[in-house]
Amino acid sequence: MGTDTEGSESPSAFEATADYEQTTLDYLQEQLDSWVIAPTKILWDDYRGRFGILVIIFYILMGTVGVVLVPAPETNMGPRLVQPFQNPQFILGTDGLGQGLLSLMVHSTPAMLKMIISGAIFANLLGVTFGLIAGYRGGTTDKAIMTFTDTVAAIPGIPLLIILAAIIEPRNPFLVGILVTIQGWAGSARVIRSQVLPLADEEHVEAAKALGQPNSNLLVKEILPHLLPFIFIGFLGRATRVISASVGLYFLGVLPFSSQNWGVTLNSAFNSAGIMYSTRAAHWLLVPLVTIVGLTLGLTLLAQAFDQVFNPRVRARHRRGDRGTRDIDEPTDTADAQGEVTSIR
Amino acid sequence: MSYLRDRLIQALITLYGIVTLGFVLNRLLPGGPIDYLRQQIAQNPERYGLNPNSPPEAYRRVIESIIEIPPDQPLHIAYINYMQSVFLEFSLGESIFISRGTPVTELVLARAPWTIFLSSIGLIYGLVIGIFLGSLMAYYEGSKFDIWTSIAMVLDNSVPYYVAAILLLFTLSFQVGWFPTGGRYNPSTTPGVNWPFISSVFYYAALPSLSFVITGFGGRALGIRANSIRLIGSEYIRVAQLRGLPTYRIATSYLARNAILPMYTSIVIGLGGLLGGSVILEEIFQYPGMGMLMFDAVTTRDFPVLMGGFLITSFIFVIGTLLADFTYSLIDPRADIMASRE
Amino acid sequence: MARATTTEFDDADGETVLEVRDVEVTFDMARGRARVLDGIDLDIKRGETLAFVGESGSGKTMLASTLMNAVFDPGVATGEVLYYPEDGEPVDILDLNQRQLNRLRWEEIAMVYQGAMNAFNPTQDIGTHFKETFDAHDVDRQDGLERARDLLRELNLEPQRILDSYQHELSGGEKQRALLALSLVFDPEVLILDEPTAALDLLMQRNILSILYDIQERYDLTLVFITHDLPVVAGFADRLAVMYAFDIVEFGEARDVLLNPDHPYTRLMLRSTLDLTMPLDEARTIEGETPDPINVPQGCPFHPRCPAADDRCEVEEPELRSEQGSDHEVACFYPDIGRERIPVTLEEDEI
Repeated sequence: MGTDTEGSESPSAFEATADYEQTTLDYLQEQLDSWVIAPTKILWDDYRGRFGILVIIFYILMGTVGVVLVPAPETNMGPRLVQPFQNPQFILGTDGLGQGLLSLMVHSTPAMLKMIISGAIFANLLGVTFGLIAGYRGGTTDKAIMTFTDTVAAIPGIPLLIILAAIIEPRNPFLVGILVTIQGWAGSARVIRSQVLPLADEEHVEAAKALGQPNSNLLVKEILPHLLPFIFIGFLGRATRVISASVGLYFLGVLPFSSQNWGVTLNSAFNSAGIMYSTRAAHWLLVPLVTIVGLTLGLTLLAQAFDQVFNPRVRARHRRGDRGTRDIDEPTDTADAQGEVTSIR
Repeated sequence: MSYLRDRLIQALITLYGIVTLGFVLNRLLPGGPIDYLRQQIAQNPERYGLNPNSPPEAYRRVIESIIEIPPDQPLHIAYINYMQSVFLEFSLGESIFISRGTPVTELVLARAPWTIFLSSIGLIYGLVIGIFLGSLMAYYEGSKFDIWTSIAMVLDNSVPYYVAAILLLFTLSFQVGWFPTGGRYNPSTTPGVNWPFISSVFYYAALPSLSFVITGFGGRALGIRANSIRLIGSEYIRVAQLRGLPTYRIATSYLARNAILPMYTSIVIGLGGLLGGSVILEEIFQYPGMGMLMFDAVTTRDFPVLMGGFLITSFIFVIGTLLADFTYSLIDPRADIMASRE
Repeated sequence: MARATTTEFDDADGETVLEVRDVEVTFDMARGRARVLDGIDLDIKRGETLAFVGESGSGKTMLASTLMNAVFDPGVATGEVLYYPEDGEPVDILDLNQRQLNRLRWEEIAMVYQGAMNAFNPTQDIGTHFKETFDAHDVDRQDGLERARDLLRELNLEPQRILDSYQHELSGGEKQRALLALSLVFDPEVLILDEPTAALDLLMQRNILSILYDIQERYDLTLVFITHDLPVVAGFADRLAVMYAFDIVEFGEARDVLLNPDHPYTRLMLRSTLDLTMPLDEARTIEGETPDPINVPQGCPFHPRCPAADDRCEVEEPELRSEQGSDHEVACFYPDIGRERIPVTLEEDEI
């Protein structure tokens, strides 16, 4: 029994046609709205998204404008171990070599940003490509790719990076970024593949195939939209891992100190003889630590906020009291993608 | 069953691939123990019985007396030899530099338990605390507790373990002196099954494992929370309530159990991350485990040890994933269906 | 506010098992307060089959949940739901504490969801579901399992196989029957069925309905049926309540309501029921949309869509009352006009 709630004046409901027409301009505007404006608004509305966006903008500014405004760090640019907030010239204090900590932090940022961009893009690209092919093709292609991926994933991460760093001795931050994620794409590939696998079987994809749609068309129209949450959130997760790994490697001293990096500052703080015993050096340690955590935090929060963008039902549900309209058991893609971000090792 | 067989074959291929990769990388490493040693001597000639003006032959004599210079073999022969020794004789060679002459297997396996010890504490506690907190947060979703804890968890998730390590070391060790700054156990105790030794083991492991634990549960908690919230609207939860089941039963067998399932793979991957991450941790805490061994091996270009450590770490990881895969079907009865999809 | 009274009911089995008094359910949402059940008054007779019919969102599932005091947060139910056990004092279900509720649920009143697609914990086998329910109600496992096996056999299921299976190993029909067995294991007084046939194909629908019929006879159950599918209950229900906009708009003996519908909504619903013999362009939908629980229109909630509505309907809300002392009640000012303007061609034998 159908008690439809849409009205139709015409005698037969099957003959009704839509009255709506679109111009190209309308179409473009609609695309812009749904792809850029609306998501940005949603992100901004969420307190996490807002914070994340602000933090990222802050760091970008630091890496671009800041480098111009703040003097480059040099040894003995000031007295050693000046405490923070004492001296307006060295607002964050100086380290054991007399370098201003603010300068150190700011001038490490451009390189870090470059690393993040190259690393995250590289890892994502590899991960999506492999995952897509594996999931879409299935069968032996899938098995082969997955065995390869698993092998890569099984390599002990940090030792591998140490060895590669020793071999390649990368100085270019873009290269460092790629190096650091050389293993990271394996996780993404697996996740993407597990999303593509069920999709490749799904009816609307089969329907499209039956209609003669070329594969590439299918991939873009049907499958890619489902992968967007993972790509975005994966990008952010990858970025946090680039930060974590690169800082770690610089800290260990295995990457050449050609450019400033927060890990380098940590390294010098940690390894300065006797420094650890005195509280006078506390800021030398804390400033880079806070800087590192700050950016990571911003990225993680933004990733969490993305959940709202990709999941209108989650958005509605979280408004207090809306549970009367809850959908049972609906899949939330982004919650799986969150699994990506939830471990930054 | 065929699924498991496939996984086994995959694991073997993986191990083989890693051995080969390690071999290739080793060959690509610039320099070798000889160069390293030469450098060391040049920096500190007196220690080796030389003076800064000694001629190169003197250097060479010293070097030769310390290291047996391995004959230069063509690549493929060296490869075959190595493969043979690994897979057929289970020998990973002998350390060239770190502990000259000691079989690598012995060296690595002496260190392995310590690293595994640290990693497992981190993994287990991180999981337990994470699951507990996450479930709690999901139960009180939307409350002040949930909101503040969520923020704390995100913060926790954003802090790399070595940040926590450095902070802990700085405050609790160097500054206040409550915890040791390095080592695995109190050197004045004798290793063995005795209380002073065992208690010192835990004492020295406290800060390192704490670093792992403290930064480890944030992500898990958030994951469990998300999964649980997703589940709470499920039909079977509702039916369970209508059946008059006690809340405790629903929270554990219904919610927690189903919430953990999707996280299983990420937990296993986390194990791998821990093993790899122990390098930095052990360096920070000067904790002689496998991580530190690997680090030293790279620095001194002690190839056999490097290869051995590489191999054994991967081996542990692969075994771990294999175990996880095999046991997954114990936890999730639907696993057979999912496996056949793969 | 609608009242369905008992005074004119002259069925020999006229004992009440559930009395619903002025039950209202509200949700406080971000955009306003939603009234999803609007002051319902109702008596359910012991041993009868009562069907609630209405479109999605009319409040019928909410009513079912309220009967077990299971309205989910942050919904709030007010009013009384009096349960009259066979021996013992009547209790107000809405007044019970958690422990008492856990007792009442399943032992006295049980509910079966639509489709049962996902009614079981995917990580437990069916047998465990039974066992834990026994534990929760202090019933000996052995005794309970014996009864469970009997029930499963009556439902044409192989007891041990079902008990050992997991949810994903059973077909839709098997799951539905297993759930039914689970719901009957304590011999409840009342069984509420929420869209039990929704996800089933026609063949299985008939199957389930005939099983339910048998079971009701055998175990002397009171069945409360909730559905949007009129034909399903046509031959089965004793009494029928039509729900619209969170309230009962027509109520009476099933045959009576179906053959002589009074409320315009009921008439429109019947007319829009598809019949294989009807030409396609005679198929009619009801124009308009169901009201938003926050913004229910003033006056009769159906008036925006009603062909018989006039000014009075926009302002005054009609009460549920019966004509000429019969047990057929309707909440409308102009049922005659409705009858005039909305032809319905339901024949006696179509039921």
